[in-house]
Amino acid sequence: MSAGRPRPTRWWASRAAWLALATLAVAFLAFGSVHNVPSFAARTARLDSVIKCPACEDLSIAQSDAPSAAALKRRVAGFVRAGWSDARIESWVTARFGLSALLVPQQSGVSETLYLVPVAVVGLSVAGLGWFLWRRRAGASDGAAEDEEPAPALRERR
Amino acid sequence: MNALLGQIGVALGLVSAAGGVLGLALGLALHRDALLRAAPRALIGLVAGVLLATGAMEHALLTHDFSLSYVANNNSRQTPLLYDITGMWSALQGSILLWALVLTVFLAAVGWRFRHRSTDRLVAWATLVGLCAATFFFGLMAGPANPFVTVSGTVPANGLGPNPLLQDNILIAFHPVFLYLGYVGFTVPFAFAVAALITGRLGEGWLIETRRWTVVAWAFLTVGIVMGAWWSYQVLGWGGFWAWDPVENAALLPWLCATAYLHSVMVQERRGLLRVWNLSLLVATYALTILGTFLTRSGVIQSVHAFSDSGLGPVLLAYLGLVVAVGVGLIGWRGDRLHSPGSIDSPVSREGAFLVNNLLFAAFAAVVLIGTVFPLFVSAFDHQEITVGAPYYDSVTVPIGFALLFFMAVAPVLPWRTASEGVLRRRLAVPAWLGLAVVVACVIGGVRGFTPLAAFGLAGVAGGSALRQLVLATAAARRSGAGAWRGFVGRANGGMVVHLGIVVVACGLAAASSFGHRGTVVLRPGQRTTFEGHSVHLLATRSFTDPNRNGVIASVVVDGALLHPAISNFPGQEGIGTPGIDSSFFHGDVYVTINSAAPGGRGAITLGLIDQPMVMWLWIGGFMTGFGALLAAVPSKRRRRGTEPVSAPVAVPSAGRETTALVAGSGRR
Repeated sequence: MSAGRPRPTRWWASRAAWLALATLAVAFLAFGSVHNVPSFAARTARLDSVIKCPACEDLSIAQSDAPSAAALKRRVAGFVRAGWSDARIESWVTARFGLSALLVPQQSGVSETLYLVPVAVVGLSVAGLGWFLWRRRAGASDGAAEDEEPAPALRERR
Repeated sequence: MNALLGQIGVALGLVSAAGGVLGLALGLALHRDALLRAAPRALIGLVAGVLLATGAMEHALLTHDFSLSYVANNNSRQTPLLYDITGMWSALQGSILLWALVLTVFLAAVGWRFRHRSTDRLVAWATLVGLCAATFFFGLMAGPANPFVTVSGTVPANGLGPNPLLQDNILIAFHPVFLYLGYVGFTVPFAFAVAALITGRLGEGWLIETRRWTVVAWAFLTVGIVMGAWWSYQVLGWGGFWAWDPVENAALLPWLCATAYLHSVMVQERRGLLRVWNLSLLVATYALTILGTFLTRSGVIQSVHAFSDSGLGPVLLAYLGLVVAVGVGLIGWRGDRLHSPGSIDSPVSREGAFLVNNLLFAAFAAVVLIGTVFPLFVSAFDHQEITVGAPYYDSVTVPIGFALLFFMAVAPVLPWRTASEGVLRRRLAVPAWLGLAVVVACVIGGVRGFTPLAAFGLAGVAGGSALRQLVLATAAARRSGAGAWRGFVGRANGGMVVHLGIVVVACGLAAASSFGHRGTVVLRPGQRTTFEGHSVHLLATRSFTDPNRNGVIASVVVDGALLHPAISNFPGQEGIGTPGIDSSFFHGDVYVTINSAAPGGRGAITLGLIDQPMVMWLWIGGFMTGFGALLAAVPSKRRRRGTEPVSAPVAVPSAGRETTALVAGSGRR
């Protein structure tokens, strides 16, 4: 078939196939993600991953087998069982070992700044992209595609 | 004798580099072609100097010449031969010598490659910039980082030996060398970028001249980083491979910028767009290699990788400042000639995808940079010690990684300028269904968790997209009678092998960071246990004594595989663990360490056990990526008209009005 308007049936079939694909992907991703419910293990795992091993350079207590890391893991598990909130446990850790005992800074101002930077970079990037694309109105172009498909015989119709 | 020869070598290198700079500067200023032809001969002195210095250092290490302070501090009579040789880059001064050696190799290669164009001002300026870098590094060795300083007083009978972590794995012989080949290799495109800015030859000629140099440097850096992760996994005994340590980040930063550049440079070659951006990326890449050296060698940060602490920081910082100032200053100076002649026609196009990909890489680099230097600023201005670790990086970089995987899937199927909806639907259909099949298979196979499933699915789409390109390319190559292997070489096709390597790495990262388990068991010889479905049988333990260490080694059978984890005591440092690793491509790794053992290895020992799936995918994917980059550097047999670079007009301001002129590099290439 030569290039031109596609047949309506093929047009609908193609969209239906993509719709089915998207539906299946969402369904399977949702089904595969349902186990992620908050639990004792999930809470302790998260806390262990943000508390720095006292005997290590840059590892969390979850990543370290050092005796001090193991002892701290037991304390954290005990606090979780006792019903402490995550914030209270993190405060206890910083009170005892200092601000650098958490792998993510918690003090006011510092943490916000750290996370604001990527947000600002993304924001500026989006703004820059918008400006760049807006400029294209000024540039004259025929808008014709330039293809690099390596097999002319297999090129799709546009 | 070694000290004298080394000093002579350093002095010869320094004089040659400085003489070459002077000769080229005079030749360029006075328009004397004879000087421009003669000055590159300084490279011969540079090569002779660095070979003499390197030979003297290696000879001193192999003969245990403890009259050299460097050898006395980083070598001993008990050091095994391999680590005698690698001792040259086990500490600050020697690693600067390695840097100078690698830089000299690159400069000599540039000199040879452009030997018939020494009077071309672009080449002369690039050589001058390279020799300036050589002058700086030889100057470091002649001054604050002199590797040939002799000990004062009595020469010790024995040395201290290298850091224990640097004499425990063969990768010390490769990882730093590959990393430096990558770091230093970026000097070449940086030098040509500066030369293009100075000469005003801002077309695409210099980009084409340096394309392969950049790809090769990127390949070395990629393999160097992967080897570093592998080394960390095998030596540090914590079962991980990446801890977002400042020194690891310092290697990643130039890699991110260079990766962005390798994509955006295609937009400039093809459409003449993004000139300022590309120059900025090259300057940033080179500047970040210096920043990495500063972080590693100055002692300003605490890191398991910072193997030296010196007063070199201010000098490196000044050089970094100079590089940034020169780069930014020149780009600003030439700003009026760097305007792009057009713009992107449609966001749904190859260049649109590359632009977004570049913004994502820039955001990634910004996140890593801010996380790395943030504690330094807080400490300096707020007098507080804070840590920025894996949770921060993971939470910010994982979404960026997903976005990059998405664009890695889409970009290869997009034509330049614009793409219709129909084209996208048709070309993405097979990759998308492949991605869905991966997700379905994983869910049926019991994989749970949004992050790993989404990562595997996107990796499936990106892998399908890359495979589609390779299938089409090999089919086209076969039809043309060139041989199917031609479908794997050249920038577009080699790039798809790189994409496949990244896909494999992404799968390994997603699995290893999502499904690992760790635990400890206490066993006596002969006892058995099970851990996460793996049988663990401690056969025996025994003490051992090597010339450079002593310790306890265990024989452990995990799922039928015999492993020998050990814990060693080196002079001055105790408790260095060497894991035993049972690796499998499909089933993952079981990682066994000795956490504690009684002296002599008698009685029960505590074993650390880590069950980590798909770790091997990281190493395989990493080397596929490096190999793909080398394939991308191989010239295609016959360039198609559609892929021929287009040199777009460069704006040249003239009196009263602006005209355009085609400014390209020399036609001889």
